[in-house]
Amino acid sequence: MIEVLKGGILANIQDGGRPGFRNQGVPASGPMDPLALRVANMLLGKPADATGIEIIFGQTQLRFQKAGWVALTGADLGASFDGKPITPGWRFKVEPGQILHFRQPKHGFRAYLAVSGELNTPKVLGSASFDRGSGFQKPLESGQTLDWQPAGDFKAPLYVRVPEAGRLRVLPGPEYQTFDKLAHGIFWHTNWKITADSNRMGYRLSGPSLHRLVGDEMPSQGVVPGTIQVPANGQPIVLGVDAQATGGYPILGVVISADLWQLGQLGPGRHIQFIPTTPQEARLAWQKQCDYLKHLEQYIGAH
Amino acid sequence: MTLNWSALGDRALVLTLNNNDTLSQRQLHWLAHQLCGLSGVSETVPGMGNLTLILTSPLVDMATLAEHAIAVWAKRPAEASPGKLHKIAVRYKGPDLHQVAEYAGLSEEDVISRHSQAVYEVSFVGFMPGFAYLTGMDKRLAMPRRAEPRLQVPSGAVAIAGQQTGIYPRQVPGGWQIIGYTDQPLFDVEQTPPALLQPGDQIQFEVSRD
Repeated sequence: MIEVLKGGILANIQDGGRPGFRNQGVPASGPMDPLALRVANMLLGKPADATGIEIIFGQTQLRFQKAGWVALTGADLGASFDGKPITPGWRFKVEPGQILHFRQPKHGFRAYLAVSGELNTPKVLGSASFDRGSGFQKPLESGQTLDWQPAGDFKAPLYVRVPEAGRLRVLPGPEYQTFDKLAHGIFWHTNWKITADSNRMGYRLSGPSLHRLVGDEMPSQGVVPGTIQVPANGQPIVLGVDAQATGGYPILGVVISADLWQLGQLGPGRHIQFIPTTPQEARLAWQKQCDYLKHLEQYIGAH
Repeated sequence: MTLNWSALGDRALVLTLNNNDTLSQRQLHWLAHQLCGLSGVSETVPGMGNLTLILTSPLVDMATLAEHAIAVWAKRPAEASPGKLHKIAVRYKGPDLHQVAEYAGLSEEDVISRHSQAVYEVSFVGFMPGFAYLTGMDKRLAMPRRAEPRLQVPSGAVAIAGQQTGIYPRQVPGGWQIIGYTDQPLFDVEQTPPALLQPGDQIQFEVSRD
């Protein structure tokens, strides 16, 4: 068992999400920083989409009731393990009764905790992922216990360096040309502020207004995480992993897949700058990320 | 009817019709079925006069896939029948029924009969799990969304927004004009598929006096 002493702000369970149900109106969900959960699982020799805990800015306290191994990645939320500070990137052993405590965030926004063996939490449509918009699962609540069956053993703790969030590369979207030149300039050169109204479904940004050349209503179409919509108020919204299946606002751009994880490490109050890119660069960046993960897996496997 | 395509980032592409009607929307659903399970395609998401293909990886060759989709489209059946017909009982006792009648210049009874006599078709499912966008509403009933959205629209609310009508599968905030309620469950995770109303299905509302 893992006891949730304090839930903190919206700490929640995530796995690979529930892709495949968009035509039923169901978002894909999954971790906001899929790279971090993947690396945490990798540190414990688990599949990329194994169930873990997404911990968001704010105090969360977990008590482990069994001995086993855990891995922490993603944001540095000032975690301490039985009073000793622990930085993201570590795999370490826990003993019964030990407490993992998150305090003041130092860097990033979401931390991920993977555990050895199985974390058994209820599933909806094949996934344990929390999706507030759809009402699937709930955030962790103080006093709750999670069914944990530790398995496997490792020789020693291990540390891996994880990439840091830096830039969000964006491909122009289907309606890019329906915005005027001034709007294009503003879009690429503004340091957009992430407002407090942001969540896993979408990040609402504030900055100068973006104007369209045409004001026609758009027919609704399928949208994906990373889609940058511009409603009539001219303030962009970047969709997160809980993005609704379809949307009807003009799409100015889309964050490339290789950079999407970084969105999970940017929280309200932080700023975002979009960098224009090309389909070729997007493919190259994805290939690079795949190569990085392969190397990391080999390195971890050798330890 | 020409089908064009555009990239939606590096992991999805959108196939768009140059114009749209009920037949072509049904043909799009046919196309979605043909492309479902194709190598490189993880999901097909119908929209209004468009179909989005979600790719398995940014390395999938979009242009080749789009060309293939357009070639399949060229072989679409000239006639496409609608999906299943659902009859859904509605208690027309919504808090906005009066305003809808007033806005349309009709009596409440008139609104009820016009709304329940139409045969609706599901254009696509989106917005929330199991929410079906229905076409075919009497144009007289069109009404803008509420200026102040409700913090909670109850599950089963039958509502109007613009020229659309729909049913809320669960309780959420919303700005549509509520004209009635149904007890019909619309989304059940134990069912396959989980949404009752599928793209292409037809719906008739039956007046329930209970």
